[in-house]
Order: sequence, then C-alpha cells, then structure tokens
Amino acid sequence: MIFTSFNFLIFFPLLLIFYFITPFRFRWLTLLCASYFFYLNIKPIFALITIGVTISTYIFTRLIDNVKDDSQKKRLMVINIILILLPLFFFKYYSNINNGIIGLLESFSIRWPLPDIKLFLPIGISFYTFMAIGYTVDVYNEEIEAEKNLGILALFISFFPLILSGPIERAKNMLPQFREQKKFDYNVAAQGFKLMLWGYFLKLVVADRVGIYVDAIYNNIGQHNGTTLLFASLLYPFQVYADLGGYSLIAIGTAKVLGINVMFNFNRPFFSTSIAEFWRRWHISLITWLTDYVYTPLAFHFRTLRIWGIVLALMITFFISGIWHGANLTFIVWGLMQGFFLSLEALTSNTKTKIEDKFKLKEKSLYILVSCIITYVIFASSQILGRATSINDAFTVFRKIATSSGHLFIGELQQLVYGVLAVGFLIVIEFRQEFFTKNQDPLKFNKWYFEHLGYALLVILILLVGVFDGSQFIYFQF
Amino acid sequence: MNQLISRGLKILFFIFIIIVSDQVIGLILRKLYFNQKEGSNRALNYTFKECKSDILVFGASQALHNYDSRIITDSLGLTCFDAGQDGGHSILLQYAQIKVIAERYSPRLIFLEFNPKNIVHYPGDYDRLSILLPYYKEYPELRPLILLRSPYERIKLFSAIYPFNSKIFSIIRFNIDFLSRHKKDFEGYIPIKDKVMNIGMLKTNSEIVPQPVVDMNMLNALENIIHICKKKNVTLCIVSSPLFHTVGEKRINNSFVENQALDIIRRENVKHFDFSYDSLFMGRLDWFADAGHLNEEGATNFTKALIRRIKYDKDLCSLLNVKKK
Repeated sequence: MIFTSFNFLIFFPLLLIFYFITPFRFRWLTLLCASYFFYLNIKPIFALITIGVTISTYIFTRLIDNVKDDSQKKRLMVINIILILLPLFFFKYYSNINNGIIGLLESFSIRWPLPDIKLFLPIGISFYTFMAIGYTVDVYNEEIEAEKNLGILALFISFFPLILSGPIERAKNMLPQFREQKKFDYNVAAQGFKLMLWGYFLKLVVADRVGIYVDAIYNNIGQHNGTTLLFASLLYPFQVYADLGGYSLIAIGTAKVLGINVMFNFNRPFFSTSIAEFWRRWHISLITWLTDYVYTPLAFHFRTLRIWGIVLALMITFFISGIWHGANLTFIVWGLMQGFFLSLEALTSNTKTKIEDKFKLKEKSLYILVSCIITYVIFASSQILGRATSINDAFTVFRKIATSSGHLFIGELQQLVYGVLAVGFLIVIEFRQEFFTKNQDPLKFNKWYFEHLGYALLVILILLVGVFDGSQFIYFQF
Repeated sequence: MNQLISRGLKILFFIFIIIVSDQVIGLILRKLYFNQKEGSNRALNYTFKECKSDILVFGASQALHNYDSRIITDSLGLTCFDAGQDGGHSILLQYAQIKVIAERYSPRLIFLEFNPKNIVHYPGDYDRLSILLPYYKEYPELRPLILLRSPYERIKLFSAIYPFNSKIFSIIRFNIDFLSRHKKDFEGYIPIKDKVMNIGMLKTNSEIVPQPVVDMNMLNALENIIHICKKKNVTLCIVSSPLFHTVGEKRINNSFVENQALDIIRRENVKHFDFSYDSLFMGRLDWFADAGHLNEEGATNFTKALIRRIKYDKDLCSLLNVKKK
C-alpha cells in the first residue's frame, strides 16, 4: 500500500477510528499492527528484514545499556551497525559490487563470475536502516536509554508514515510520543490533513506531471537536442522535490493527524541563496542525520587540519550520501559534486561575506534572485547525474547541452502545459510562504473560509490534472 | 458545544464546496467534451455516436497513421473512417469501440490493426482505458472494461470531474477554434508528414524486458470482436502493419504468446493480412517515421498494397461487391 493508492484512502480513516477508540496505553499496539499491515501489503517477505533489524537493534541496545565497559559498548554498537547494514548492502549493492568485481577481473582476463542474483530492493530499507543506526548510536552515546518495550521499538522502526521514504526520524523525538497520552486535537488534525492535501498536490499534480515530460526526454537522450535536454534537466529538480517533498508532507500530515509530530523534510529549498543553505533546506532529515552521525564526528577527528579538515569531512559525508542513494558511479559522482560545491563555498565564505557586507548585497532583491538562480542551476546540473542511468548518459547530456541547440521538443503539448503550470503554481505558493506568511501551511489566510476555499481548489486541481495512473515515488528506489 | 458546532459547520462547508464545484465543473466539462470540434476525443465521440461508414479501421497509432481512408474509399467505392487512436492502446479499446458501434449499425468491413504479439500484459495497459471514462454513464456495455482499471472505479466515478481527468486542456483547446491546429485529418486518418526514419532509431533499449505474460482479457477481447462481427454479419480483416526491418532480415519464430492469438484467428477462420515482415517495406527507411509507424508516403504505399491483397481475395471481393483483379 502506498499513500497514492485508493487502498490508503480506505485504510487511513479506518485506522483513525480504531486508533482513537483504543485505550491510551494500547495505542502503540494499534499503530504497530497498522504499520505492519501497511508494509505487508507491499510485499510480505520484506517485513522479515524489518523484523530482523528490529530484533537485532533491540538486543544490542539493551546490552549496550547494561554493559559498563566502554570498549565493550563500542564493540556491541559496531556489531549491531554491521548487522543492520548487512541486508542493506546485500539487497542494494550486491549486484553493483558483483558487476564491478567481474569487470575488474575481466580487465585482467580472469573470468570468475559470482552468481548474478536478481534482487528486489525491499522498499524503505535505506530509511529504516538509518533510523535504527541512529538509535543505536544515540543509546551508545547515552543520549537516550535503550527502549525496554520491544513493541515500541518495532513501531519506531516500522512506523507506517515513515517506513517507505522517511523523513528519517530520531528515536529521542519519536519514542516518547508513542507513550504520550494524547487526545484527539481538532486543530492539530486539521493541520495534518492540510499538509497531506498539499503533499498529494505536489506528488500527483507537480511531480508526476513534470515526470511525464522529463521521463520522455531522459529515456531517449540520443534522440533529443541540447535545448530539450537543458529544459528537461531544469525541470527535473522540481520533479524530485515535489515527489519526495510531497511524500514527506503526506507522511508528516498522516502522523500529525494521529497526534505524532515528525520533523519537516524540506523548507522551500529553491529559495536558497547558496549551496550550503540549499542543503539546510533539502532532504533535511537525511542531511541532519549525516551531519550528526558522519560529518560532525569526522570534522572533529580532522580538526587539526582546520578548514581542510572541514573540506575532507564534507567530501566524505557527501560521498556516503551518494552511496546511500545508490552504488552506481552516477550517484557517487553526484555526491562528490555536492561535496565539492560545499567545500568551495566553505573555502570562499569569508571573502563572500565581506563583499556581501561591504555592498549590503543581502538586502538587494536582485542579488537574492540571482543567487537563488545560480544555486538552482548548480543543483540542477548535479541532478543530471542523479537522473541519468549511466555516467556515459550523463556526459552525453552535458555534451549535448553545451554543443547542440535546436527547437524544444514539445511532445504532447498538454503534458508540458500541465507540468509548467503546476511548477508555476508551486513557485507562487512557496514565494508567498517564503517572503510573506512565513508559515508551513501553504495556503495560510486570515479568514478561515478563504483557507477552506483554497484547499477545496487543491482537491479540484488534483481531480482535474492529477496523474492517477500507477506512478511510483522516486525515493522508493533508494 | 458552540465550538463543536462551529467546527462541524466549517467541515460541512468544505465538503459542500468540493461537491458543488466538482459537480458544476464536471457538468461543464461533460458538455464541452462532447462538443469538441477536433482531436482524438472528437474522433472517439464520432466513432461512438455518428459514424456510419461502410469500412472502419480500428487499432492504436498504427491504425491511425498507416491507413489512408481516401485511398480505401476511392479504390473500393465504399466510405471509410479511420477510428484509430494514438496513445499505445491495447485491443481492449478496439473491443470497446466495436462493441458500441455494433449496437448502432453494421459496417460492411472492419480492418482491425493488430499484431499478435500485443496480447502481452504490460503494466499501464488498463490505465489507458481511462479514455472510456466519459462514456461510463451512457454506455453500460463498456463498464466491465472500465472496471478492469480498478475495482474502485465505481467509487471514483461519483466525482463528475474524474472522467475528464487530464483532459481539460484538449477540451478547451478543441472547443476554441483559434487555438486549434487545424490539422487536416482525412476521414480520421492522420498522416505523419515530413518525418523520415534514421537508422539510429533502431538502437535497442537495454532495459530488462520481463517474461511476457499473456493477458487473458486481451485474448478474450480478440475472440469477442470476432464473435460480434460474425453475429452482426460484418466482414473482419485482421491486419498487421509493416514494421521496419532491414533487407533480408529473418522472421523470428512465433512466440508462445503470438501463437495464442494466431490460433484464435485461424480457428475462427478470420482473414489475416500480415505485412509485419513484408519484403516491399524492408529497408525502406524513407517510408517509415519510426520503427513502428509509416510516414505519409509509406502509408500511401501500404494502403495500396492492402487494397491489392483485398482485390486478389475472391471471398472478400464478392462480400464487398468489388471487382476482383
């Protein structure tokens, strides 16, 4: 079951009824059953891995909590992290590593192929694995106590709004909420439903519409000229944003209706004036996770190298971020590109700040606009690597953009019109949020009836131009 | 208590706005949808409601672009309408079209553009049946086909806008004359002009093709089309259009999937004109727009070749009262 399936529209109201009539102390159990039901609906066998990760994490974190010796604690933490990572590596990276080894051996004229196993990646494995690792490290660092109730830990790892594509939440935020005795709050639930609706709009109207055009171009790179590839590449970040951002909002909204607060995953990233700011606004849960568990320990470790220590920590962190997205060379180069741009900004930040202060540039709208555009173009160009199926394809796209011009491929005119209008609508709404309302609520108005009319309009727009036919969320592949 | 009533009223207001907007916009879209002057929706409306041609061509994009209705009319002396539809539709759409038309009248000849390989189940095939959603209320006979999309389709159709999902642009466009392309279609036929295939288009896609699975609904659709035509006394010719092959390219043996469809065609004794490996079209890059579609010149030559085959067929000539060559 996924959020955009009709089954979910039946499942969720039923769950709400069951959840709020369940006595407080058993509500976590209702959520746990619902979460496993939700996940089992996708492919039952996948749940075995989730159960395995949960049991391993439970046993090892309890042991970490009970052991006094620091080195033994560390050993237990490392063992658990390795155990949790095993299924992720096996399902996600086996084929790539296998092909890499075969290629390497063949270059020395050695043929010793390992069996090529066609594996389906269990949906959400990258997300709940990171949540379990984060929890293990937090217990080791004594930031939280190990959860004694296996059921509540299982709920944290399998919580249905988050299991498929995040946000990658932290145990210290989630575990206490599963125990809290919360009554149904109309305002909170209404806020949750609003977020869900905006999330559905982003996914069905923006992401999937833009996706039809972008897919048509990127699936036939050889047939299209540089103009078309440039246009598709500039549209693609909107598709990814609306896809994962839409998913995240549905997840956050769903959890909110149940009375559970989940961190926001995006904060209008396309209004960032630098790459560093962009990464504080884009896929926040992943980046803060990487900052806390990878970047900060690394930067501390390399502190004697001063600014170059930060550069090194950034490069390694984003290399890991690339590998998290996939073991393909495209994602690795993508990650390194992000690390490179961030490092460049870190190295030039003092000079840049001085210039900005001297000419009071940060107050000038034109400077902000140009900075936003430059940041967007840099990110969009790196996303070519995220979208292309191979490094060769990515280079073909770069080469064609630089060398071949011509007419823009329109294809089916209406798809392009819907996509561009949807992106325009998104920009207008976010512009208003960013510079006027400063609110997470996209359609915030002073009068309640304007707000109701706004959300009713969203429903009508979804019905009119939403893509209802069998599309998937992009981040399910990660 | 007051707060409870106030919240209840706000929720009711929200629901009321959605329902009223949905019904009003849906009604307007319905009116405009059936009032389109051009485009593929108009062609489908015309096929369902008005068309009375002697010869009909059914199929997906190959039917729409490969059969020149003017040549068919001139050569056989019978009116012809090309009811092909772009968009990668499966035989399920053609079954729906023939089912509706057969209730209204019996054409003398139906050309069904069909490649026996195309009864393989692809995800998304049923999604394309959304083209039939505007007809759900009016044509009960189409409902079982529409419900193949999803068992929830009945519930979704409570919305008046839903049948016209993704169609608003073309509805507006083809209701306003100055926005129309004024693309001249010839009795349904739309030629692909000024497009010539290049050999680079033949590059094979490296994506993994899953094991083909016969779609029983499509197989049944083929059988049902044949039965409808027999029942209504309509001559049915199944035609497989030319596909681009290089000169001397060997035919690949029929697959299990292909044989399933061919068995039905043979068993039911239906005429099958197979041009998919016809030597006349081999290596003729200049006649193709891409590997699966002929351009205008290719369509002219193909239609002429098809007519020649018909004129050589004694049974067909006598059925159509056409002079045999």
